[in-house]
Amino acid sequence: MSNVLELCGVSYEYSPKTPFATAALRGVDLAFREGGITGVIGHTGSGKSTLVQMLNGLLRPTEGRVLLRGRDIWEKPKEITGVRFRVGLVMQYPEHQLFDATVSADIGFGPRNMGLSPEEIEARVREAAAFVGIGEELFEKSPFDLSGGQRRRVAIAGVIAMRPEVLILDEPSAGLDPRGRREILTGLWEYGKKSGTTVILVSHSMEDMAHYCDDVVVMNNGSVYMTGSVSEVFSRAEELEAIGLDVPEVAKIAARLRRRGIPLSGDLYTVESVKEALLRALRGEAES
Amino acid sequence: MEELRRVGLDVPQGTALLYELTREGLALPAGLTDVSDCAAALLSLFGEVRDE
Repeated sequence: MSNVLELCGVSYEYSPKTPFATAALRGVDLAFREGGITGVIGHTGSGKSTLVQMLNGLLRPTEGRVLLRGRDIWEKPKEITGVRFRVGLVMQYPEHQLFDATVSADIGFGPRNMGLSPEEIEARVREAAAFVGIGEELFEKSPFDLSGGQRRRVAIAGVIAMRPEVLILDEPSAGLDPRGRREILTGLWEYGKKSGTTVILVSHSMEDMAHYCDDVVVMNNGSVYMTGSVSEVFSRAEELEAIGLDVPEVAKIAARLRRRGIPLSGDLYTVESVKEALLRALRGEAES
Repeated sequence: MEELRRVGLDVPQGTALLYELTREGLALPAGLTDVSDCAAALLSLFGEVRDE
């Protein structure tokens, strides 16, 4: 599978050449594969948010290149707006940026800016709203009359309506209760799988990574600390713990049972996978 | 557990795992929240005891 986005030796410094200069990214080499759902995880200040702002040209690397389908996005700086339509970024707490009078007008803001016809805008609004579970009965309501979770989904739909090739979400479930978190993340997972869009998800939660991502990038101190499939990354629990990150609780339980000789195999980092492995072991079924 | 989920809340993964296994008919204590306690309860299903 080909890579849609690549970072080659990317560094970034805030307030360069001042006493407040801070290196936020250091020589990052990274590739995001087409159609995958990749989680980016790390502590506050690890460089996650700076990294994702590099990917759609909101920030320009101090050093290195960002390639979208093999082409440097800064090759023609005047065309950077076009990159932002192709690589959609949903910032943290995106509902704070809602402003239009109605839900449908807000979702249609991006497509209007793209110069699309009214018919095409309407079709995209319906499609995007359906992906995030916003019913058409809400279209004429003010976004400010909706619940927090609904407002978040409207804001995400506004980016999906631009049909980006890559959808990046910075902490899309921050501040939501567990049910709201599950609804948003499940919707995004379904969107990624049905549409084939490459999705990049920034999160603090290892459980969310385990449930919803194919690949994981672990950031630490402005560098890529680890990258690989979810199972590859979670199999390196001790290295994660060395930088203060954790693996899902059930992965720890499964590891303890394995150390005691209980025959559990497979990728065990969700409640469902550990439950099934335990039931198989109790039935004495051979593990593959 | 079901009551908590009905109001949109979550429980620790270990607690959820034991609950799901109980629904499969296994005899496990309810309400354990600590990783070590959950692992010990599961080990007991295999005739093992916890290592301290």
